[in-house]
Amino acid sequence: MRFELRRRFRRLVEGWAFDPRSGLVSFAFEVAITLSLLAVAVVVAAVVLAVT
Amino acid sequence: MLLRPDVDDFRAIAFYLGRIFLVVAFAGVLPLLWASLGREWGPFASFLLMIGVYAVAGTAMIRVAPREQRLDWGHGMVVVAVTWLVVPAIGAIPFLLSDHWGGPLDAYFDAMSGLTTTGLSVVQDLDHLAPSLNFWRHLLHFLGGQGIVIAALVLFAGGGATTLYYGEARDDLVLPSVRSTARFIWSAAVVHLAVGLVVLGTIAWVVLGFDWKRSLFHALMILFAAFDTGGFSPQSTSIAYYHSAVFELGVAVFMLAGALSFGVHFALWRGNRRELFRNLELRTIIATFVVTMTITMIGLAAYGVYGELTGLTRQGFFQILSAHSGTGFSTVPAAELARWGGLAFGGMALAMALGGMSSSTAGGVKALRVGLTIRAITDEIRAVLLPHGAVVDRTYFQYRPRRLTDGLAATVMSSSLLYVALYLVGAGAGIAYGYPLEAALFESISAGANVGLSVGITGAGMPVGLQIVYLLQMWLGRLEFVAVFAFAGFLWSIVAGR
Repeated sequence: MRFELRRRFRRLVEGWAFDPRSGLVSFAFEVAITLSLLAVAVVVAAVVLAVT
Repeated sequence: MLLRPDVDDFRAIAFYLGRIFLVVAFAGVLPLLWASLGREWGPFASFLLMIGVYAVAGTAMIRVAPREQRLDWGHGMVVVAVTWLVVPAIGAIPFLLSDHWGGPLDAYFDAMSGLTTTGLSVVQDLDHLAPSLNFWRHLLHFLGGQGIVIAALVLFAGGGATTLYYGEARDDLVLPSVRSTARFIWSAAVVHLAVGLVVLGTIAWVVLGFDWKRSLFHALMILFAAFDTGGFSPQSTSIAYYHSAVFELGVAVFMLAGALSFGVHFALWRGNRRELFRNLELRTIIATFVVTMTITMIGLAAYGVYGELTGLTRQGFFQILSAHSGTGFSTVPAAELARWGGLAFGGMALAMALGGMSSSTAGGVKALRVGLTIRAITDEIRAVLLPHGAVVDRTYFQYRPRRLTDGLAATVMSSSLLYVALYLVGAGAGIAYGYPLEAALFESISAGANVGLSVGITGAGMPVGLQIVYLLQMWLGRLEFVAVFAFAGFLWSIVAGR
């Protein structure tokens, strides 16, 4: 039983070879896309208000 | 000819269901701890009961099968379909035992809405709900968005992992094995949660003036709902409660993150940023976002309520990002949303129907299917216009160059048509209950695409029949039909198989 638990725990913890700092790069990209879309939204709103 | 399932089939299904139940029982310990720390003894007892039911049912089902069974495709699909029906049934126990839901169906509706990351709710007096129950509602978003089956795969991937993975509406493996892909999905979620707690917690503390405990509570709840494109919020007025453009912008980043596929997240983690700009699905979702936002803003300008640049930008941007990502947060009340009408309604409905990216936590038709459908149609037009015998290049870029075959185009279009049918059936049910066409269609798309925005149809005291229709829509939309159809076939084989 103890061996089985140890084996399961080892299988659970091994292989998490992801660098969390890379996640920050991903987050920065998401911020950049959001701000770009917001900039587009400002332009679209300005054009729509100017036209209507 | 259909083969009637035998005892071994049921054992294989029970074995994996049991494992998944044990994972959810383990997750249930978190709200139990929350209730004990907050001295909320009523919810504490209900969480204890819920965990007990999951644990006893899970253990019993594993004992039915004396050894690990290998799943075939049919078994895996049935496991996934039943998981998404039964897990919310047991998870609804704490809701049912509180005074905030009208009965078993209401409690089940909110649990299903939470798990499928929809966000429609029939809760009563949400603003006075015990924090531990609020935490459980939002944790259901997290479990459902990340995938409870995926969580089980992380813990004990064995034979049948692949069928379970695909059954839960995941399209592509970002890493060679299901186990490593599942681990990446959970790693990305944990990193986003950690970053989000810092970002949204700081905004709540500094800008909104909340104390640190309240800041963390609201940041955590909103993050669960935003990154998993859920839509539940701790207050009945959703994001309007915070009255802050800065907070809305912070939430917008995490809604967008939730709508991106885990393939995009993986490419970013691996530094393949240039390739992303060639990605068909990312290009498609950005294009459809701009189109639906433009349509909505024209409608809102015509509506005349938002006549200034800041107001129109803020409302149009946030509501469309919420609708397109499938989150369902709102900064306007349901009654106000119902009055938008016209082009604003059309833009919002279209954004909800299209949904986020495949292999994300978002629902809807998905940007990849939209992009491939447009590509297939333009290829056909080019083939007609080019000289006889000319070859049309039918490759597209999705993390790597791929070929758009006729078979793939047919599959994509039939899946898209199924979504349209799902939306129309729900709208028909709404009309049958006496609601106007626009409102019935809006609410139906919201349920079927797992969005959660409401124009006021969904709520305590709504018609029971319509509630059941929306429940089925949420289930079908989340599992993208295949697992549910396989489950229906399995049930039919019990009756008519030989």
